[in-house]
Amino acid sequence: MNEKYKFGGFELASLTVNLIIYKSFTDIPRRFLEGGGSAAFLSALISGAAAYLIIWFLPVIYNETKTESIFELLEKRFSKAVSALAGLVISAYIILSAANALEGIAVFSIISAYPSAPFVYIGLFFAVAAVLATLRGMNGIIRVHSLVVPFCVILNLVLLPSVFKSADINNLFPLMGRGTFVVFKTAFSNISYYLDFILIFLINPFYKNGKGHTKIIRLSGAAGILVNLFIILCANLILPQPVSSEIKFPLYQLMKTVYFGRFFQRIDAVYLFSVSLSAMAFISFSVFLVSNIFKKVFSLNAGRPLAPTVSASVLLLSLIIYKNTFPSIKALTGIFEAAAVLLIALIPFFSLKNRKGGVKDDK
Amino acid sequence: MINRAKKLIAVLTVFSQILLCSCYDAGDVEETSYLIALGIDKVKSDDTKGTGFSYTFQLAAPLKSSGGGEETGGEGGEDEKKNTESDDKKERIYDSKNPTVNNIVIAAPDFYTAKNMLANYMSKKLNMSHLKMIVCARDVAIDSFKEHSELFSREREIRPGTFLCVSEGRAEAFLKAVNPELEGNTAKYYELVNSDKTLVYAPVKRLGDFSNDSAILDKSAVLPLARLSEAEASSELKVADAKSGRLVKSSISRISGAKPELWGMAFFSDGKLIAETDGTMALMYNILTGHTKQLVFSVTSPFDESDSLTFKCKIEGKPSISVQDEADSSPKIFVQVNAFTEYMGARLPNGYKSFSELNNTARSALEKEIESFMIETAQKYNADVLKTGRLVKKNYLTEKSFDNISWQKKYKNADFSVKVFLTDNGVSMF
Repeated sequence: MNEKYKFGGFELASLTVNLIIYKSFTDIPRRFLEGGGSAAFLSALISGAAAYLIIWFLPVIYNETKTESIFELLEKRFSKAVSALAGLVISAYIILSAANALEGIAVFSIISAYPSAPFVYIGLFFAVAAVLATLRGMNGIIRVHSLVVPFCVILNLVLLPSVFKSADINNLFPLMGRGTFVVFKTAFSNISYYLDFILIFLINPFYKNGKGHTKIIRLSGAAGILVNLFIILCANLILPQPVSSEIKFPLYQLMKTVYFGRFFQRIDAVYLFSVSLSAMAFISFSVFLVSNIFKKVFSLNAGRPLAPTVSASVLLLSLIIYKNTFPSIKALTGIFEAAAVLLIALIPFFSLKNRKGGVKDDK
Repeated sequence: MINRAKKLIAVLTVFSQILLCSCYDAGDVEETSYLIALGIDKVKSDDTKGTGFSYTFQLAAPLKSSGGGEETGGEGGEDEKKNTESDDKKERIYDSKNPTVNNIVIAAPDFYTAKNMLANYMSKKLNMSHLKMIVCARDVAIDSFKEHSELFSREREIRPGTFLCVSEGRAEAFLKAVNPELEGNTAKYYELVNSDKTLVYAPVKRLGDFSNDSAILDKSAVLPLARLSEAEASSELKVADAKSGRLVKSSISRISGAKPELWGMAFFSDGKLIAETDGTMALMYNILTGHTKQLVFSVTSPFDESDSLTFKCKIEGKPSISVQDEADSSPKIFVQVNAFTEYMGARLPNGYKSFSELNNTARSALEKEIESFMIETAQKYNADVLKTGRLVKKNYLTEKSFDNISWQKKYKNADFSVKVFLTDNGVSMF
């Protein structure tokens, strides 16, 4: 886990896109459709525009940082304790996010393909994959992303237009759905649909390849947002209200109606395959990130036992989410997400302050 | 040594992933029975002290289905069929003894109890992923079919593309009478008979369509009617139905013998059957929804009621429907159908001076029929089955403001303006 990351443009783009599109199988598309009603697409559009603004500005700030890790910055500016605290908050968010993803994909697998398989079996499958990927290192995870993500994106873009024959433009009206306030509330409360791309800044790809990677992040971020928007648009156009908000997995419902002729009638199975790969790539990346953060902020030399530990924590949390043992865990994810986004967006400012002479840089 | 242990752990871990869940729900084909059609009837159940249901599970018998050249239905020749028919006439329900399927009837308070009961009897595991058609008896539909359709649309194995229909008689009788001619595979028969392209006198409706239609706007929906034609073809003709200058109704036609057929349309409001109409109404529905693109229709001659004029018609694009809705007045609904017609006779019929005059007769007959369909659905059934209310939604900013106008009440008093533009191609060349 100590190797230097090798980021080609395509690998970085794949990683960024997956951090956005993996959420298409979670509960969030349904939340847009439920909250926004006929204006679900409008809500998703506002949300996507706000997310893109963040994608546009963050690389500008990170380009100025002269370090690979934001935790080093915190340590220099404040103390190791502050750095460790930030590491804990961000790690908590990543673990919760991965647990939600694991719960989502496991439930989706149970509903769509393995009705009698126990949750823990399916969860264990992804957890084991995450451990293996983390032990293999970041370069392996990046390579998996560059293979998986093009497949997932192309599949979405091929399958969704094939259900367009059932689309009805009138499903987008009334334009403001359940009211202007509700449209904006839905947009901002579900902005997390796009926000996981911020995790890319934890491995700071701009450290050595500033401007080239800025362009790639912006373009791939826009592509990921467009794919997610396209998914909401299809669900909004094809499934009328209130049907669309009553379905747990609207996209899967759409996939069940894909018909490419007599020999291609079960396309939804391919869709399950693609979202499983996408989820597996995200969970692996999350486990790697958390292991890496712990190694850095707590200066742990033995990094290898971290991967199974983090992976087991993700599995356990996903089981708690699945069993609904602590109903407030989803709210907790939201709080940690907001905290993590603020930390990741604000920490580089300390670096800028350093450069203006506020605090002397050791170098 | 350590490297070898690592490799072993890696191999075991990868292997364990294969075993963990992918084969957990494995089911062999020879251990599975495939449901291809389901019938729902109502029975009085003493056990439940209320109304229970009788479910007819029609299961595929793939080993008996013929493949390739032989398309007469596998085992059980014509003689055997005749014998069983004569025997079964003593019973109320005619069984065609279709060798490619097994029909199992189970009375139970609900579908899943019946499914569980089936497992008690049958050694093979039931799989519903190949279910092609659900037939609901009229009495079940009157009470409420919605509870069943909602259940099925949430069932993992049942696909939204499963065809639905309402049986005039018992669903069990309809399914048992199915013994497709010129087709060895009964599942394929259900797919072919429900084809949008060929089914003219009944709408083609899938589970997904019905669930969606029953949930939006005024919650009205339609389903095709299924019936067993038991009349002799020649004796049942009602020529008196014909009106001069109007479309010759399909209701005067009959298929001879106990043949299952789809004909007519059932209207639903909030999942409950409210009315049944004939095949001509269904034809108008199919034209207006854009499903029927080509048809041949006959019009009773205004000059001689015993004479009928036959036209071949090709609908150009999807008919246009627009709504003019003002706050304090009843809405005006404009329907426009563009089509090409060809007169199928050899020369101008008696009484006509030109083909344009003949074309006017066809146009007028179609206009009257479409207008009568629109008025009947609005005023008699108050069912906006064409979902014209969707077109009004864009005039409102929020769902609440649209709900406030009570579209269903407004639709009842709607005025209709129907225009059919027929481009005359003269006399058919063939």
